[in-house]
Amino acid sequence: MSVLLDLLLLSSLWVFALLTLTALPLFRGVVFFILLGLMLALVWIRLDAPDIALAEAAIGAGITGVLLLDTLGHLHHRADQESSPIRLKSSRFWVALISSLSLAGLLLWALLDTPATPTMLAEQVARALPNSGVDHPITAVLLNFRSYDTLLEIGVLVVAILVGLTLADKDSAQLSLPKLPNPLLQACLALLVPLMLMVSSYLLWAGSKQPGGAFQAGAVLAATGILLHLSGFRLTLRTSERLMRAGLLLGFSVFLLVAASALIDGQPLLTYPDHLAGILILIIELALTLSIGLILLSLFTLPHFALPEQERPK
Amino acid sequence: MSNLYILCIILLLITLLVGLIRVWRGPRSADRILSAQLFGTTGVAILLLLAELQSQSAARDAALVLSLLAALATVAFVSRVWSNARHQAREAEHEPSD
Repeated sequence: MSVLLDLLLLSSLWVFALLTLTALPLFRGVVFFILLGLMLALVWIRLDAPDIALAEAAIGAGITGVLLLDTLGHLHHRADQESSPIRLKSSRFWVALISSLSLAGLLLWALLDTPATPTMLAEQVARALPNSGVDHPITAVLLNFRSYDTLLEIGVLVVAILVGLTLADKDSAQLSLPKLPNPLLQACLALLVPLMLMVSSYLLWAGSKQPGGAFQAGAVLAATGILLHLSGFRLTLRTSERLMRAGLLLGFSVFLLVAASALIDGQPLLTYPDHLAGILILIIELALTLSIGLILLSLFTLPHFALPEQERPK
Repeated sequence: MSNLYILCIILLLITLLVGLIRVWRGPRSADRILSAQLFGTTGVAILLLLAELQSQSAARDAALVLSLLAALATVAFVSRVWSNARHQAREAEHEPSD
């Protein structure tokens, strides 16, 4: 019975992925992509990986879908690109084919080439968990044992914003669509926004003992901001610019500060003293949540940043 | 009991696959996004059932997040795509659907 369930999940994942790749009016592809994120969340839960499922539900099914829909809206404005199929130049096609095949080969190799002596990572983590300051092994790995990786990940987000800023162009700000003065939507907002904020802080707090944490909480926070933005609660350009800068700075600098403060004590970078580890991790996660939320929100509102103050659309 | 859960999940998955037809055929983009919205609801149901099946309480958190964020895509659709896609959709209605 459960084999049937797994087979069905697997085959529908294939179907969704294929449909996403081949669907031709772009809008159809975007819808399939949102659904693919949903299916992935289900599969991750089935694989007993609830942390990834939470992140996928928040980012894959929530924020990425909205970003793609927004992009589609801008494309519609620009030109009628909906019906023209995307054709790759043959040289690009071969480059794409070769790189994806070699990636698949590498992954297969990693799967088949298991080390002779098993590494027993799970046992090592479980043994070190009491000293990590948190009770959830994933959070312990992300923010204590391998916090270097997480620090660099935040760096990647900062780079993503900078790239986005260079791509923002002046025309798109004029395309910013009118507000939605819909009474039903406003009523929904009054219910949804407090709930979303509550869930965001719940996920942040839950991260220390069960699946959850900064990324998931930040994604929900960003979703709240995007919802407000879409419904017409817009900040002035100056405020949102400042917010974006604060978002860029806050997470990375708090993380770096905590990381470097270990050096004063003569410890290597990123070691926390055992009795302070819990509270330090919480501080970092709080800063990261705010930062990730603001960064993801800025990715959405980005086109408006490229404009000087006087050209702001009314 | 667990067999009952699995059966329900399989049934819900089959309804999802049937729902794909509506996403594929449309004909209007509003039909597509609405069936995606329905997928979100079904996804929440499957997540809740999986939470019981695997006694995985975090699946409920995922269901919570999904149910809160599922509405976002529809709001984005209405404000960003619908207003300027309406014209195109009208044209699409006259074409034979594939």
